[in-house]
Amino acid sequence: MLRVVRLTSERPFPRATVEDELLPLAQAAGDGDVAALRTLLTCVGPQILRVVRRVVGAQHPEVEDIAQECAVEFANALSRFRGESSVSHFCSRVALGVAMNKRRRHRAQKRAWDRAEAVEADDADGHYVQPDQHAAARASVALARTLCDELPPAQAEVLALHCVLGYTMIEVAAICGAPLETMRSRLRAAKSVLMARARAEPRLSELLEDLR
Amino acid sequence: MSSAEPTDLLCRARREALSADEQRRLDELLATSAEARLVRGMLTELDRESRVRAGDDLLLARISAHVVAERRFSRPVRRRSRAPLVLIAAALLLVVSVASAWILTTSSRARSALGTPASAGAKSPAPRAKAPPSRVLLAPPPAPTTTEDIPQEEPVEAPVEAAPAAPSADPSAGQAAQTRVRRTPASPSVGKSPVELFAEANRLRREGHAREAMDLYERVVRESPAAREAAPARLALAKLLRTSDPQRALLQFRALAAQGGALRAEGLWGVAETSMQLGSTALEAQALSNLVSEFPNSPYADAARSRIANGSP
Repeated sequence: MLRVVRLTSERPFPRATVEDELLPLAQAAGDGDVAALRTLLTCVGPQILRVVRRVVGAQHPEVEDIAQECAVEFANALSRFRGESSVSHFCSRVALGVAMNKRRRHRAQKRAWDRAEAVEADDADGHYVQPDQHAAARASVALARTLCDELPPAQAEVLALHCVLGYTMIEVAAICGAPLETMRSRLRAAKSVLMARARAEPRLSELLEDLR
Repeated sequence: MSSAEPTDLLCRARREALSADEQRRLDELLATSAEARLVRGMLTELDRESRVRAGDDLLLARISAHVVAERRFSRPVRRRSRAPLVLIAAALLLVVSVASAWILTTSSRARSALGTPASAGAKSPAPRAKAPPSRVLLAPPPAPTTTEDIPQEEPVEAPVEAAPAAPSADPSAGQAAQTRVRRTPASPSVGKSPVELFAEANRLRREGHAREAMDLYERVVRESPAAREAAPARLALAKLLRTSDPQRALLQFRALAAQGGALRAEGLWGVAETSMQLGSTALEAQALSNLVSEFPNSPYADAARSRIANGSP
């Protein structure tokens, strides 16, 4: 029994510590090594940018500012990083938190935030077979972003990690450091609201009706 | 795999090849579940929206340089800045007390001299015993480097106080002293240190209050030009000014570049960007060539080289 307690207290997340290539860099950067911080930012920078674009929209005028805030916050948070998840996941969570807060704040200030989510004719890149599909996809993204603003923070975080950033639920549980079942129940609650809103959205009705 | 969320397959399918069985289950799921189709639509659109774009490498290099510079400046500031500040405050107190003691002694001498008729005829110290010398004494310390630091970006204001300047052979020096005397008491931020002002400005900028942040950055630059926060404040001010007032932004970037130090590369890049915005190709070319020659390994150097090679400036 004592051995079990000792082992689990020493290595609570053995996978993260063994496999994470960025961990030494993160530790050095957290200790104030500027060169390590620069290298680490080079590694995780694209990921930060990706998270910001997914949360606030690629056309948003403040993408660079928000990404910069995320990077600053990530650098500041490194001293608190305990290796409970991978550095990459930790970075995603920090960036997600900053970007979602920024979105909520702008929404509270009633700024014209969702202008970029309107369908623009010159934005089509041939990916979608029909314009309706494109419109429906964009409407679903807008809906997810709106729900991330409106849902309770815990549910919004799980919804964003799974449906916006595309992490599996096992990864979501590791990122949040919470039990899988807790995460799944939060996701269920968030998805029920998502589906109710989607059924009320005319642009999504065709997509949903096909399946009835 | 009962513990897996059905939509997990969608997430995995975008990153890795699924097995035949998993692919079959995913197809079934998409055919039967509205939720799965909705999530698939979202993820596909978000993949498209967050794809890598041209210029991302430069954007990330800028972000990385900014974060590193901010960490470099913010770390030692809190630990080291206290001692010099205390020393400066003590030195100022000493100067003020010596000056006031000197004024008191000279004025008392003058009074006593006026009171005795014998010495009254020998000297006439009455005009020299007035208060103005204290201002003249206090004015010089923060003088020459500070005003040179801020080239032309400061709006020229009319003199407010008719402070009697010391007789000087150089009229411009007198004017500068007069400006200094006017500015020092007019500043309402006597109680706040540049560290506090800078932190407050950063907070305002993050919250989206650009104008208020600019005011505070400007105060840091103007009132504490020798502080460690002055250069990052100038950089932040210049960046904020770029959209609203590129001319002033250019002046701030040039001042930053002229100061040298860790932010010279940032200053030169800002000069290049802003002068391009203003159509000043000669200045842009000069800034880019300086950037390449002085900072060949900086994140901006590659971009500068390609712009020079493409004949952008």
